[in-house]
Parts: sequence; C-alpha cells; structure tokens
Amino acid sequence: MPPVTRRAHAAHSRCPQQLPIKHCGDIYIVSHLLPSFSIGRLAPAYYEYGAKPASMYPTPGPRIYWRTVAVVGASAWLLVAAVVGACVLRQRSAEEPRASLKVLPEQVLASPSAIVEQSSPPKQEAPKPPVTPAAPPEAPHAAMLAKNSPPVPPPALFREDRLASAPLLPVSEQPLPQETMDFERCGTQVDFASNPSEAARLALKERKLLLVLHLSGEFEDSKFT
Amino acid sequence: MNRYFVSSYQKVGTFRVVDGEKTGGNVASYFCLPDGSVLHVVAGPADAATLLREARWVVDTRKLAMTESKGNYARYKAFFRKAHAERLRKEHNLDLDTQRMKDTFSLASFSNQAIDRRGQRRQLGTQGQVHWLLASDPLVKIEEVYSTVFEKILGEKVSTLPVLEK
Repeated sequence: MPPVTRRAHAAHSRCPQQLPIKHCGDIYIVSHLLPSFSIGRLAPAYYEYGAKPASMYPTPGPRIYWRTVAVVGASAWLLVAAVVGACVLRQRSAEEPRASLKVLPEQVLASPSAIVEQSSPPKQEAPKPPVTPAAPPEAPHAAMLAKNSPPVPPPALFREDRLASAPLLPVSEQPLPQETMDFERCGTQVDFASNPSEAARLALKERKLLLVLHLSGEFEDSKFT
Repeated sequence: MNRYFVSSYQKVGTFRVVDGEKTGGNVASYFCLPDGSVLHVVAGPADAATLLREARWVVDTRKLAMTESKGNYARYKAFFRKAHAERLRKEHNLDLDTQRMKDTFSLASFSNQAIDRRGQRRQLGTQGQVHWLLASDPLVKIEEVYSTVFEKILGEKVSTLPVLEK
C-alpha cells in the first residue's frame, strides 16, 4: 500500500469497521485521482457503505464528470482557436506591406506617374456601362506582373545598414528627382541642366555623354559670357 | 547636341567688369562620360560650328572605341590616347611618343611645352595642349583636370569670388 493511501486511511479512522486495508486503499486511490471537491462527496458514501459487505459497494470503476470535461474541453478549444486566429491575422498584416513593396519598383520603371495616380484620390468619371464581374480589376494586373517580371532583387534603396552608416547631405544638397529637373537654353539650341551632377545622373540613365561648360562669366547674361 | 549629350554649366572662375565691359574670363567645354571621365575638351571660346564639329568627333570616336575595346577599359583608354595623339600629329604637327608619355606624365608637371618623339620641346597652342594632355592622360576625371585646363592652358584663375565691378 502506498504511504499516501495509508496516511489517508489513518486520518479517517472514524471508520466504524476496520475494513480491509486493501479495499479502503482502492477507494482512496480513486478519490485521489478525482477532482478535490469530489472527495468530500465520496468519503461519506464510503463510510456509509463501510459496514456492508464488499460485494454491495459501488464498483470502484472510473467516474467521469462529463460536465467538467465539457467545460474544460470547450475552454481549451476556445484557447487554441484564439491563438490560431491571432497567428493568421498577424501573418496577413505582415504580408500586405511586402506585397505593395514588390509592386512598387515595377511601377516606377513602367511609369513614375503610376504612383501618383495610385496615391491620388480617384477622379470622378462619367458613368461607364456595367462590366461583367468576371474578375476584380487588380487581378489581371497582379497576374501580369507575376508572369512578366522575374524575381526582383531588393534594390539598393533598402540597404538600410549602409544608409544609416553614411552621413547624409542636407535635403537641399541632394539630387532632385528627374521630374523636377529644369532645363534652360540660355539663348542657344542646347538644353542646359542647372546642375552638373544632375546632368551626369541623367546622362547615365539615358546612356548619353555629358557636356560640361566651365566658365568664368555670367552664363545667363550674354553680355558677360 | 541634345540627342547625344546632356549639357550643363558651372562657374569656376570670376571676371571683372570695367565700365560695363567684361574683362577676363574664359570657358572650357568638357565632353565626358557620365562618370566624369574626360573624352575631349574644347578650351576657350568657340563658335557653334567648331563646338558641333568637336562634339561629332567625340561621338564618332567613342563609338569606334566601344567597338574596338569590346568592353575592355584599358583598350578603350588606349584608343582615346591614340585618337588624341593622331589629332596632335595631323593638326599640330607633333609626333608624340605616347608610351613614354604614359610612363612619365603627371598633371602637376604639365606645361605648354610638349616633347616630341625625337626629344625636342615644342610650344603648343591652346587646343594642341588639350590634345597633348589627353593623349598623355586619357579618361582623366574632370574634377582632377579642370584646374589644370583652366589655369595652365587658359591662363585663368579658378575662383569662387563674385564678379568685381569697377
């Protein structure tokens, strides 16, 4: 007999008849396995039955409290469902910005104005005839991008470690985007970019050569050129 | 010009205005690769026809250099060295020993006196000095050579001072 069971039997020495230890031990082992609140219910029942022959005791087979099992099971399933749901939501929210970044370089290469169009609020247009709802409007575009474009390596723009380490010029000294680059002719047939570094950037992009005039004069004023 | 070049200008020197007239000042036109490697320079004021002719020479020579070099930088550089040496020989009657120039030339020691193949010193004009400079150091970067061109060939002073009026 295990010591725990023996101690428990000794604690309940009010038992009217000394039952065979083996039998009492079996009952207590069963009660030990059940939830604690059931011991109180089980123990008196045991002593009531204690005077009777062993054959009249209720069979000591496992008792299952279905209500408890149902409550515990339901709460466990709810917990699992909540965790899975949270994981799915988190994964979706992480994929959405990544998908938009994938599309961005393609759009920039295709037409820089596409970004402006995308970001600007949709203009009011004349009502169009109803279109068959075969597919949503984004679907062909996304499919076309996925089909035509090979996997694009991450552009240098995203090398944040290098950008962070290099000291940046003030915004006023950084190259302007090409859209805002202005040319002037200064009374000639040649278009002059206002800045040699901008001109070099444009020449590289358009695979042209670079013509730079170094002068000590007022180029804008023909009298002093 | 707009078809083959992206153009820009930069003020590197100053001049004086005396009684409303410009005194001093000069101009140098650099034909470069987008990375700033100088292919050719027109030193001093030039009319439109001259500038256009030099621009055409640069475009044609560059095309030929690209064909000849097949992507090899050393061959591309050697081609421009040879092209400038050839113009120096044809237009300025100076036969350069390009191999010797390659070994001994430095921008700091540049002067308007060139040494020909026979070791004789020759005084060169403005455009001759440009060809000599670029035959000795082809594809030099514009930021390295502009002060030499402006000060030693054109005789101007590189300056950031504002225009002085008297």
